[in-house]
Amino acid sequence: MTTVALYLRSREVPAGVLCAVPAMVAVAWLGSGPAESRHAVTAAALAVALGVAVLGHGLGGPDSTLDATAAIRWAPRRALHLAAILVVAAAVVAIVTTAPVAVVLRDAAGFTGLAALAAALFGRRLAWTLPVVTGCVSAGIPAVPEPFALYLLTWAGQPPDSPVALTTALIFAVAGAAMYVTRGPARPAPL
Amino acid sequence: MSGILGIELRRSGALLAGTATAVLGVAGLYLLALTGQTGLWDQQWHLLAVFQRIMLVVLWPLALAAGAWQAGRDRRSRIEELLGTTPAPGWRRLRPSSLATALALAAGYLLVLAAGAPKVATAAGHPGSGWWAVVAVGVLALVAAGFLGLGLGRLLPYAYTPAVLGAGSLAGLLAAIEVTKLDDATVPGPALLLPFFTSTISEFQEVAGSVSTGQAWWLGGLALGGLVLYLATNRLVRLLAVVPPALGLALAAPMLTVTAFPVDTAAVAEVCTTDGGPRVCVTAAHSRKLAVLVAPAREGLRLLAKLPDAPASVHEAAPGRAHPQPASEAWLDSDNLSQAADPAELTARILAGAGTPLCARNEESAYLDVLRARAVAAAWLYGSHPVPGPAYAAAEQAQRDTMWKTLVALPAGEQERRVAAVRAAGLTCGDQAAALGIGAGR
Repeated sequence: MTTVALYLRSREVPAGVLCAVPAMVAVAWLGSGPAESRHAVTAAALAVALGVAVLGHGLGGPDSTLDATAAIRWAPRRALHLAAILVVAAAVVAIVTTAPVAVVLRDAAGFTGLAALAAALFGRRLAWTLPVVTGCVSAGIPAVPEPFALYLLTWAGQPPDSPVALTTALIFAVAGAAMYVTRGPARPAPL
Repeated sequence: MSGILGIELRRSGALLAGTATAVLGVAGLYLLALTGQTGLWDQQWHLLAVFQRIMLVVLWPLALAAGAWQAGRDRRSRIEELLGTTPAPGWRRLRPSSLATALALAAGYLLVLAAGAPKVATAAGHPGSGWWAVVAVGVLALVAAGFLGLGLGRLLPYAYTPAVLGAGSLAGLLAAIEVTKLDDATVPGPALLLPFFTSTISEFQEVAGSVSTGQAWWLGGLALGGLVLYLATNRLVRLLAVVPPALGLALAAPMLTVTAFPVDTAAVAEVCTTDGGPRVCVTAAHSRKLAVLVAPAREGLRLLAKLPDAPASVHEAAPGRAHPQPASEAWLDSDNLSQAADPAELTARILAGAGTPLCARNEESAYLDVLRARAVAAAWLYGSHPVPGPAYAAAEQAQRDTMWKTLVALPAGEQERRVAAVRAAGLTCGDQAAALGIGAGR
């Protein structure tokens, strides 16, 4: 128990949850108009992106180089952490929003993968970048079926029965998770 | 100063933010080329400027997040206290980084304009004027986002600030769009306070000068407020940061109550042939299409000469062109210029309604009857039925065939009288279906 508490504290998870949950609730609630409207879907996508971006800060500790020296099998812990972020983000948004649950789950998987990718590439402080940029692009552009490039870019706002959007989210999830679980957060360059 | 600025550009996220702005903007412009929709922005300089402003819906929140990230640099590097011990005033140390952010974002925005410019230069009918003001306000909007981000990032120096500002502000702005949409038609004012445009304009419209001025006051106030928030070293000065936006809003509010997108008189001005033949005119916005129109238009005039009081010139009728139409002119709706596939079809489109533009609206019940009457009149003038053009559904075509047979069964003089009546009705925007007097229930 102490280990878990220490881990969560070192990753600043309590503060992250305290910030992420109200933020997600606020954004999802702002967009929860008539059920299944396009606006509700984009707001839900944006809420998930925001929550995952904030929670993604916990994907690394203050000193990743020091973490790497520990005789601990990090891989399962990292995987567990990613799964926890996905579940928390998806659960909070799914409760508030009027958008379909399938959309929330798909977006949570995709954005969690993107946050993991950003954490592995740029470190925890920039873990927010990929989810926020992708979330803004997805939510700011109307989710149109044509052309294919725009269809891909707006994956997070597409309807739940879109196989392409699901595939895109899964690719992000798998690629991000694989990279983060095997490599861990990026280590800051030595000064 | 340039030395410090160079270091700031190298050692901050400003260049990255500017690059991201440029890349996203250029991608936004040219992704539309995949479906051949670049007509949304390449027809006119004003359209490109407005389209860039529409893309700010994504770029603005990201610039806000980039500014907030930039503001947290000293704290992340744990040198806040160290720098606090230097004798120079705090604002002097922070000034170069704000300048670097502003320059990088402005350069990114202008790069998007430069990327779109070659395509517009080859497609736009006239150089236009006043569109640079729309671009300048766009630059100001993006810089205001950067400064606001810097200020809020300094005010709330937490690791989560950039993420929350980025996604949160977009959520807020999207909600604001929904709210202002409700009374868009009657009161466009509030929507114009958003840092981006929510709707595009046609190639015949421009952004009113007073709207650009008002938006410049408001966004300039926001930028100044953000800058004060960033550079302020004590609480009292921070409180003063609300003054510039409030002042800007007060100055802007009366300017945003006018018609936001009036008709661009330079775009609807006529460009005519000068070669001595029958005159053919298009709007300045479509001046590049004049060469395509000349031959079909003169063929159309030749065919229209069958009628009494025949027209002697063909004019493109931009939406909202003032009626009544002079009897000596044949008018052609603007969209025919881009929709016609070949010269013969263009001639047939000029002959539709005997050289008059369509007045009936799509939602009117008589709309289809009017279209049929116009097509039959065109066929009579063209000399064959059906006229060149897109094929219709079998049922629709059968109705038109019946109307055609009824018309040609009439005595020759009566046929001519009916088609002339269609033209007379079109000149004054009257009921062309009733004028032809053939078809369902007549």
